Amino acid sequence: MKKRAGLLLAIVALMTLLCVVPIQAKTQVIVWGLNPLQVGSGNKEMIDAFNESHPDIELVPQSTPGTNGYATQDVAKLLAAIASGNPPDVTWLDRFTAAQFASRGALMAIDNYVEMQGFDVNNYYDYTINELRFNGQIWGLPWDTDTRPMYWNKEVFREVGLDPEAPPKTWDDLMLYSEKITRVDENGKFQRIGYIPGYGNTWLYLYGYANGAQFLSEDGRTALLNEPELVEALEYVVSFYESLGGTEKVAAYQSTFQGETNDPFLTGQVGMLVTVNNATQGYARYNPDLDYGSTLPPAPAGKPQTTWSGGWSYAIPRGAKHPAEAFEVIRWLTTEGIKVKEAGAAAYTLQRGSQYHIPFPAAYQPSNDYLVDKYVHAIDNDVIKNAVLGGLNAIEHSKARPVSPVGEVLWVELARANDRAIYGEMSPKQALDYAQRVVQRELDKFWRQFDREN
Amino acid sequence: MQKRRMGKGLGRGETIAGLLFASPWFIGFILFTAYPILSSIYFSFTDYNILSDPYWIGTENYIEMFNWDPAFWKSLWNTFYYVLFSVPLGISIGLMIALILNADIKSIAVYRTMYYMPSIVPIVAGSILWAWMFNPNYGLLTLAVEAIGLQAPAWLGDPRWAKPSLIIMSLWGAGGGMIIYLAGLKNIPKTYYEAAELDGANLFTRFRRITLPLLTPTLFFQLIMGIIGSFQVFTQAFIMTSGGPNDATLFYVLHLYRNAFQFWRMGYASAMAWVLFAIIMVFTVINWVGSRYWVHYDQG
Repeated sequence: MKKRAGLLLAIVALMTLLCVVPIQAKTQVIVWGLNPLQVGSGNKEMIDAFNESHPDIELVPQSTPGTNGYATQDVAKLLAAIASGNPPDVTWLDRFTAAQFASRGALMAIDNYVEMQGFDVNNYYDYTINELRFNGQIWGLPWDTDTRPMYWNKEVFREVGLDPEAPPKTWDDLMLYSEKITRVDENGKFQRIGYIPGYGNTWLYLYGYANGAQFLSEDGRTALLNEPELVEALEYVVSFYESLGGTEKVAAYQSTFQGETNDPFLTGQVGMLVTVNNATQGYARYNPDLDYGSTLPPAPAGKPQTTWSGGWSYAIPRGAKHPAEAFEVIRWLTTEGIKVKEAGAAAYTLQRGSQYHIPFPAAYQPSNDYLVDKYVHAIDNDVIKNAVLGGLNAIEHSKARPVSPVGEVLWVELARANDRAIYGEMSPKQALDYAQRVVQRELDKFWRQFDREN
Repeated sequence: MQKRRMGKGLGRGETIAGLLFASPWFIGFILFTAYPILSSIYFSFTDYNILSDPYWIGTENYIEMFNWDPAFWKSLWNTFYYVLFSVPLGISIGLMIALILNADIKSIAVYRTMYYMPSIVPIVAGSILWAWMFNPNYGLLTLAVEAIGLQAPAWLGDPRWAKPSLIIMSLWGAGGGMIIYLAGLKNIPKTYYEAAELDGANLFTRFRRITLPLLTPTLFFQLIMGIIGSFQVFTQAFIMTSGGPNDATLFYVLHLYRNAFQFWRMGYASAMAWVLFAIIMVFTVINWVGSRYWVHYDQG
């Protein structure tokens, strides 16, 4: 029945193709997750540049209905396309889910093409390419990398008598500084908070990695979620909320936060935060005069400061019609394309009237160096330039999420444990015991099937 | 009797033509509804990640659901809570609007349209709209609460208020029920009211003794459809809260969806779907049995 349905779909697809597309000499590579119509993104410039420089290949960005036009974050669509044997040639993929796709045979390993072309994947930042390795093979090429530095507002530091050039380096200092910055009005309502553990982009990965937690064993078969390092990290988060008067109270304050010009970091409602590095784009646009800095997030005393990164990739689904050409597309996009895209985006930024264009860090190191030279060093505002460089500097100290075929379960269960603990439903240990139980069971199930099939 | 007459009336060729014309529906139903439903029974006994072949594991999914998945119980509780409040509230408010809009006043159709409109707004658009209504700074609801001198809650941002917020939102669609009650009200012969009035029955008595009993078949229909629909509440939570905060709006179907398409546990999700089917079935049967005691079909 499945086959018959597939046949039906194939016939419909074929008919559509025959009607719409004239016979062409160029090989068409269908790409999901790249929207040429996204204003100011530079996507269109990038696609045009590819097609001009490749006489034999045509990059065809394809709309995927029901998913905001072009995004493939709605994985259901992609899954169905792969399962039915009619996937795009290239798909945009959140890197931390790559192992989940690869381990179920949903992607094509690209090692052959890498070897054939003598392409050096070591030019991608280690953790970005490593996030795409599973079972000894590479399953895609990394596109970008975010980092999570800590930003602190120097004006606020000055106001409360803290040294504006000395951000907190330890967890204890972070709590201490936060207490100094936090202001409450006569009714007990917050006017300003020094630091909120769950505000910005932190997650348990931030605190866990800072405390040396591993999350997953080396071989990826054992979850390590209720190990002391992670329990302590969650205890710290909980105690932070307690010191502020409880999660409900903080959440109520947080729910009044706004965006853009009224971003709480710009308005001084929050003195310090850890968030993704592209926050500087908004800060530069909405308040180029803000006096602030960026640095690595604090760690427990005596432990190295660290942070974590995510990012996207381009991968070739199993069953892609033109894998060799698809590889050329993803190689070009992640190395050369990203430069063209940033040029397009920069032109738009200037045309819009913003002074500074801050590029998003590329995962491909030579391209990133190029972008930093061209755009970051050109910024004539030292505060902004240093804040951006602080974010870039964090790349060296950053880790990716553990590569796991059950990455999504791990992600959701960690968030769940965090919520249960900060809302006082369970103790940190208890909440993590639960997460451990669920994730380990899922891991066991996965590896049981994996071992059966391999 | 009827059937035989139809068979005689139609020639063989006509029957075939009729079936042929209806065949797109039959084929669509068999291919895209019946077949998936039936296969999901099989999948519910397998480990199935969509991409690989399903692997038979017997009742393991069902055992896991009841013994290993705390989120399953929480989602079940959240869903019960939602059904328990949104269904009776939705029915009473829908009925109330219908009674008011049953009056014979000028341009009544305009008012009816106004109240009916929200129920035809796509749920996704409605959810985005209501996210603004609940905005803790400028949301209409927030301003309304503050206007009467109370402090507004953080609505969707507060685990204690997230479910009540979605229930409030569900009442926005009460106009959908209104249309059905209006039809039911129109069916009640005017003579009953005239007779009652002559006997000296006041407005309340007339409602209590005539309107309500004669409306019970409609109420019963709405109750059953309301329960079936509310148990499957999904879109609001998916769009507005993604199940949070602290799983306060993790509804059953949202948990099911995540298992299917985020964790790729299609076997487990299929098992969850059948358990939900059983739950809804039990409620429907209870309703059906209970209906004997309060639903009156003695109208005609």
